Amino acid sequence: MNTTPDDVMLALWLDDELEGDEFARVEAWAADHPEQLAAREENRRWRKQMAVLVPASEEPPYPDFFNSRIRREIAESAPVETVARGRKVTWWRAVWMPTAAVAGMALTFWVGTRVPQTQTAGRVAVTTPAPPAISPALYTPDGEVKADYFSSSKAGATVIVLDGVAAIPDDMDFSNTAAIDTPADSDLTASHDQPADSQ
Amino acid sequence: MNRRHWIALVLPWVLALPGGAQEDPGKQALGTVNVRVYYATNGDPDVSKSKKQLPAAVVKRLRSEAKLKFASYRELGVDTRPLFRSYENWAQPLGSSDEVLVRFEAQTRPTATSARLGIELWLSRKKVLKTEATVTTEKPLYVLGPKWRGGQLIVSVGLAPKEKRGS
Repeated sequence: MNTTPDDVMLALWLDDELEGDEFARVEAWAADHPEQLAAREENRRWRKQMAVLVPASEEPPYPDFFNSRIRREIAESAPVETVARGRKVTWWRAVWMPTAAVAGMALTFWVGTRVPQTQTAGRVAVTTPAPPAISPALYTPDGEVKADYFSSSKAGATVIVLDGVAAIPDDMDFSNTAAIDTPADSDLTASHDQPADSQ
Repeated sequence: MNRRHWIALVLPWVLALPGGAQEDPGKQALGTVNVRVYYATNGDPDVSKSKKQLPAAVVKRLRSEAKLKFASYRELGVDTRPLFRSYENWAQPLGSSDEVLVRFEAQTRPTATSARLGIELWLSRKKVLKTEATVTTEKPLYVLGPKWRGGQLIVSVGLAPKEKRGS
C-alpha cells in the first residue's frame, strides 16, 4: 500500500492544518522522513516569528489626499535626515568646515558690497527660491467655489475662507433650530456687540 | 404557565443581553467633536433671531483675525458628536435643519488634546469642501462660509476637552 502523501496533503501537514485520520497517516509516514519533520519545525518557527513581528491589528490606511500626504511626509522627514547626516562628522570636517564657512561668508559679504542694491535683490530672489509651501489638501467639488487656507496665530485657529459659495436664501429660518441660552450657558457668555452696530 | 416558568424563560435572555452582544471596536469613541455655526455680521445681529451670544474668548479670537472680524456674532447652533474609530460621523449643528452638515472621520488615533480629521462641509445637501485638518481643544478650524441675511456663517469644528471623571 502506497502511504506517501501527495503534495497537497503534505503541504497541509507542514502547515499543521491536517486533522484526524489524514493527520495520523501523514504523521506515520513522516516518522521515517526526518527532513520533513525538520521542515515542519522550521515552518512552525517561522509562523511564530511572523506572529510576533506582524501586529494583530493595525490602523487602516486612508486614501484621501494621497499625494499631498506624501509631500508632507517628505517635508517632515527632511530635517531628520539632515540631523542624521550631521552626526557623522569627521575630524577634518570639524576643523575645515567652520573655516570654509567663515571664508565663504566673508567672500559673500565682500561681493555684496560690490554689487548695486537693485541687482542684489533680484539675484537673491532668483538664486534662492523659497521652498514650496505645504498647504493642506483642499478640495471643492464645485468649480465656482474657491477655498483659501491659512493658519491664524492671532485667532489661534486654522481658517478656511470659502469664496463663491452660494448664499443661503434669506427666507431660510433657523430660529427654531438656533441655540437657546440656558442658565449654565449664560454664565459663560457676554454681549460683545459693538455699540454702533447694536442700534 | 405559572410565574416560575415565566422567570425561567425570561431570565436567561435578560442576563444575556448586556454581555451577550459582541462589542464593535469600530464604535469606540476616540474623542468628542464640537461643531458650531456662528452668524457674523456688521449689521443687525437680531435678524438671525438667535439670542445666543458667543463666549468673550471666542469673540476676541474671531475679531483678532481680519477675515473673521465682524461687529456682531450669534451662535445659531451646536452639535456635539463622538468621534468613532471606524465609522463616519455626521454633525447637524442646526438641529432639524440639514442646511449645514459636517462629516468628519479620524485619520489617525487622536491624542487627549488633538485629532487629525478628514472633514467635509455640506451646504444645502451638497458637498462644498473636503479637507483635512488637525484640530485641538485649543485650536479649532473655522470655515468662513455662505452669506445669509446680510451676514456670513462661520462653521467651527473643534475637539471637545475630555471630561474629568467625577465632574
